[in-house]
Amino acid sequence: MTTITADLSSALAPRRTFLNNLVHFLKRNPLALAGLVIVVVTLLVAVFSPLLVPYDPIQPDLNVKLNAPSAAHVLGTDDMGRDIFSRILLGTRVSLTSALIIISVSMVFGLFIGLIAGFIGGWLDDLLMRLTDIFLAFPALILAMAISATLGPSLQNAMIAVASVWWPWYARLVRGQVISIRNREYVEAARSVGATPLRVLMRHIFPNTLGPLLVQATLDVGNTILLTASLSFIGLGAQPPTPEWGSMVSVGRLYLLGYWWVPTMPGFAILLTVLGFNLLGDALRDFADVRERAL
Amino acid sequence: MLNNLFRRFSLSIIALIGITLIVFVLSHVVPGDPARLAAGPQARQEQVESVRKEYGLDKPLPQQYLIYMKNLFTGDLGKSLQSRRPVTDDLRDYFPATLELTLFATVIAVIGGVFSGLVSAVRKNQWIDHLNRVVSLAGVSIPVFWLGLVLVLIFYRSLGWLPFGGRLDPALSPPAQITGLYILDSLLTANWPVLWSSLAYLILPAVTLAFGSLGVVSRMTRASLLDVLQEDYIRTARGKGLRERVVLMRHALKNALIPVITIIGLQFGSLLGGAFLVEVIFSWPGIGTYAMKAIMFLDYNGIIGVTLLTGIIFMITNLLVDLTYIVIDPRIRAQ
Amino acid sequence: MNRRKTPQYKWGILLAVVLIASMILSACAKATPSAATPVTLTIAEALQPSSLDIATEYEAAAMAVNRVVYERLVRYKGNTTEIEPELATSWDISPDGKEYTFHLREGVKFHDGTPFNAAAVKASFERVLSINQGPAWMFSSIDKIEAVNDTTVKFTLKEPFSAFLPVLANIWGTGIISPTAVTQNTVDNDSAKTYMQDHMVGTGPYKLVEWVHGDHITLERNMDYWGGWPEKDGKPIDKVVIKFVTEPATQRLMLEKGDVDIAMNISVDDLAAVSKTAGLTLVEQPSLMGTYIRFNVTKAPLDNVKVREAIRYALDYKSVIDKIMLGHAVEMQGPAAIGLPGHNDNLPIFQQDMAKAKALMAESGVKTPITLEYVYETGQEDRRMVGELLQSNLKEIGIDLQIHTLPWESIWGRVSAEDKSQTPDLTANGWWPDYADVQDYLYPMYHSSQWPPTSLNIGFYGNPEVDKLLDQALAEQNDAARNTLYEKAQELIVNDVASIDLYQKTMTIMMHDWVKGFVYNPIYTEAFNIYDMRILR
Repeated sequence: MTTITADLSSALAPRRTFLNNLVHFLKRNPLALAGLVIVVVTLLVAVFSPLLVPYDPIQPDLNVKLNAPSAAHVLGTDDMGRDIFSRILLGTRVSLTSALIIISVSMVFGLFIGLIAGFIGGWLDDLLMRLTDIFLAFPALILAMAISATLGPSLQNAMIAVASVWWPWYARLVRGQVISIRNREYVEAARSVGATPLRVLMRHIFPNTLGPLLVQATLDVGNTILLTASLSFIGLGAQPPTPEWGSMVSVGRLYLLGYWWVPTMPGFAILLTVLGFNLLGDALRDFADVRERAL
Repeated sequence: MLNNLFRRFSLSIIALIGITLIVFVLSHVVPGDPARLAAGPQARQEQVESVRKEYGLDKPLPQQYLIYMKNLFTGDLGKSLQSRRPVTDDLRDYFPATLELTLFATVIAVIGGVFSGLVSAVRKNQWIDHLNRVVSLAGVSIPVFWLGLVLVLIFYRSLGWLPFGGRLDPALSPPAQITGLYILDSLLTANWPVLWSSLAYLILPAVTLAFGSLGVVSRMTRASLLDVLQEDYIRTARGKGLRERVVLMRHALKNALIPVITIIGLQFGSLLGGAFLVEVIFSWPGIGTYAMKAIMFLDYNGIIGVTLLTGIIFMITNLLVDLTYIVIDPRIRAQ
Repeated sequence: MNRRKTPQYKWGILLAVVLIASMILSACAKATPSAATPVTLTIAEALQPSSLDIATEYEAAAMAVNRVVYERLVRYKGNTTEIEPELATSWDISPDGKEYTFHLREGVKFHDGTPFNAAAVKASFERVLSINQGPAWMFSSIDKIEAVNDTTVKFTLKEPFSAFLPVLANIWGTGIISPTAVTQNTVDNDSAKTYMQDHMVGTGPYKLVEWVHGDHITLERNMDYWGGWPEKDGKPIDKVVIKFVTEPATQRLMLEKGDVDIAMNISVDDLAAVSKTAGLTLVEQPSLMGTYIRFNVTKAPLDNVKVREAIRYALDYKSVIDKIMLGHAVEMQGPAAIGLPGHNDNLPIFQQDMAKAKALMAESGVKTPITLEYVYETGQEDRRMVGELLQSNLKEIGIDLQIHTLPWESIWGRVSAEDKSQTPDLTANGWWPDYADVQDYLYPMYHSSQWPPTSLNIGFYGNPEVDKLLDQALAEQNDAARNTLYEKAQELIVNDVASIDLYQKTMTIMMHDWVKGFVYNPIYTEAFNIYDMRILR
């Protein structure tokens, strides 16, 4: 109980800024801090990976094929003699970029559909929500698999597949927000002074849907990485020699017994990254929760 | 409430029809000639045409779809190009394996998750609670296909405790098919060696599959239980001098389980998806293995069949969840 | 918060105990086999067949089952490509090469108890021809089949076909099926096509017991087999389980644990370690399976022979054989497999020569950098590695190679598309001959009439001279003269740089020492002579 009351009082304290609150919160939550550190490091690696890699992650060197981890190759080498550490570093960029693209695309799409459905309402709302129902009626992985299988294997198609099972969640979230905002007093007020519907939508409703949407999107980064990696694992994603983590595990499982590091290392990279995002996301949710209760 | 259920049911039907259309259209705009593959790599063109005709692939796309839908309503999902049998026969052969795996994993996830959530709530903010939180989050972060590999290395290769590679010791014959679930069938026919063997083969894949959901259920139970424990009636119960166990089990847990049930319904869906990956690792002869082959062969009827079936299962699960609400919570019943 | 220890822990402990107990019990349940257990051979195989009907299906996965459940008129002998009798005891060929008369074995019965005779042979082949799918193309030379009497059957060909006996010895479409079983199970005039998908009624030493889809196929000894069951060198095998295990690593685990006797698909990188394990043997045999990369010779810039030649010189062949295949392959010599009758032994075996490659690139007049697409079939990891190596080799001569993995069906869709811009630039593919004749290599892959979608000339190669040589060879009855024609054709194909001929993988089968008497046949690649094999633990 003590932590919550402490957080509550800190959230309520008038002089404290949002940032101060956050710092305070992180101090009291080592797990959240760990998550934050992992996420920040991952982001830095993604940005600077070309500068960080000790070896060319693409160029084969068959003389050092399947070498065990050593001083020269800290995480060992793969079946083409490429340095696994370098490939994992570059893979960070591949994974984060695809997660970012997937989430932005589904966010834009979901936002568009959600705004229209929520604002216009009526039969259009019904129609659009039934459309999202279609997508939500299936386990995400299976639907993504069916879509990317029919489109053909490539990282781009895998991203399309994941985005197409992801947007309905955002559409619903936005629609819900729009409906709750639509009838608030300030929106009514704007209408009564003669603002056009478009202006009401863009100036008053749209900005207010962004907050929850962005929070949700942050929480989803880990999940999209995992889903894309799963598609790559079953051969529906990145093409060789792209250093995508899921396909590295997929190819590496051939070497599981003789050369355990080949599938194990990239798998561990997925675990660590996704865990980082989830730790942070979990903490953020608690943080937001506390603030909401306090307000 | 019943009205609402009916509405959801009919919406789900529309969703299923919608998905057939999407996958059907997608699968037929992609370049490729399924008849060719079925006929074999060296078949002459006339042999390919003979296959094309047999599978109805020579007709225009809208007509193919109409035929497909018409057949669908008579329970005919078309012929699989990879197995050259009706897709319904394939699903009947492969689905019980997936169902058994998913159900067993659900049981593990629910029992383990509720239990660890309970411990976490009781020991809130103690080390066991923190540990639980990390393990739960690791559970949803771990790639299930990777976890499977690691568990096989440990429990089959190094320790040799558990078998793996299929559903049953190859020396044994599967039990007479009643439900298709080996455990149930062998119980019903009192076939003990098969029961033990199938149980042993089930443990590794089911635990692999359950790990992620266990974490989710655990977190949900903890949160929900903590909410409930602050309610007035719990205080009243404690005030009455009831023992803590009675308060927890009889009053708190029962009410805390309602949101947990929703999560279980949703988790069943994600377990069903995860099963596809786990089956690949464990050579488990379920619809995941079947779907992989369907993908390799661009067997559209197979792909649509699997997608529809999982959709239907998912739908039924969600309806069951709704019904459970009504049973558990009289307030909803009254509405 | 109340800190009293709450009793629900008891339930947890109970649960844990139950779980652990069930684990231990189930481990114990895998008890040692008693003396009465039948002699069982368990084989791990990656692919499950689509169907067991030899008239429609046409895939290596079903070979093991087909070889011992069905029998053919003739077969390949031991580890050779020579023809020997199976259900026929002898045969005569008319001087014009158009009539083949077979004298049949007497007293043979099908698994359903009905007698084997000339009518059954006629019915079996006519069934394949009338269904006209899968392997039917191999029998297109047949004009008519007559049952002269109960033990004599005569095939009349439209034209002389020099490879007819080798075709009859192959697995596909040649097994004799009980005509009674076919007529009894024919539904809607389908020649029992549905029934035969998962039923087999042959004359062979083993019968089909069950096929648990996705898991395994079980065969059992046919006690009435015409060859009898002599207990020479130990007891015959009573039961065969073919277990479908997709993952090579899983196959290795199961082999090491003794859960399977034979593993068909151990990855080459594991072979060294696995063969060192006490009690395990690696059976390694040269094969006739070729792996090659086809150039799309109709598409710029690969329509320029110099570019193709530059690429052919750029590949590091030595690394392919030594580092990627780890010596479990031999480099190909020309477009046909070494070891097939009619193979040209005088062709060059290529080595990397970067200087030459660069010079050829300069001569070609094609402006670099250029981008080319390399396509290989999903799951063929050796072709992925070759692609990745070639990619790095080609970088040096200004070519950016994009690698794409696709299911075979998509590759086929793209090579046979009307729109030729869809066809890949380089396609890696593999080929194993259905029957032992170089014609089965050259004709479908290099004759200009065999462009997709007709057949497998996936590089759209065409040379009128090669066409003529292949056509002549088909009708040529004299072996020596025929081989000369084939050798000339191979030389022309190499000079035209139609392909990069990579390697012939060796067949690598890992088995326990207790498996005895296995004889590998280069045509029956995925099959076993189970009738002669023994398990001596």
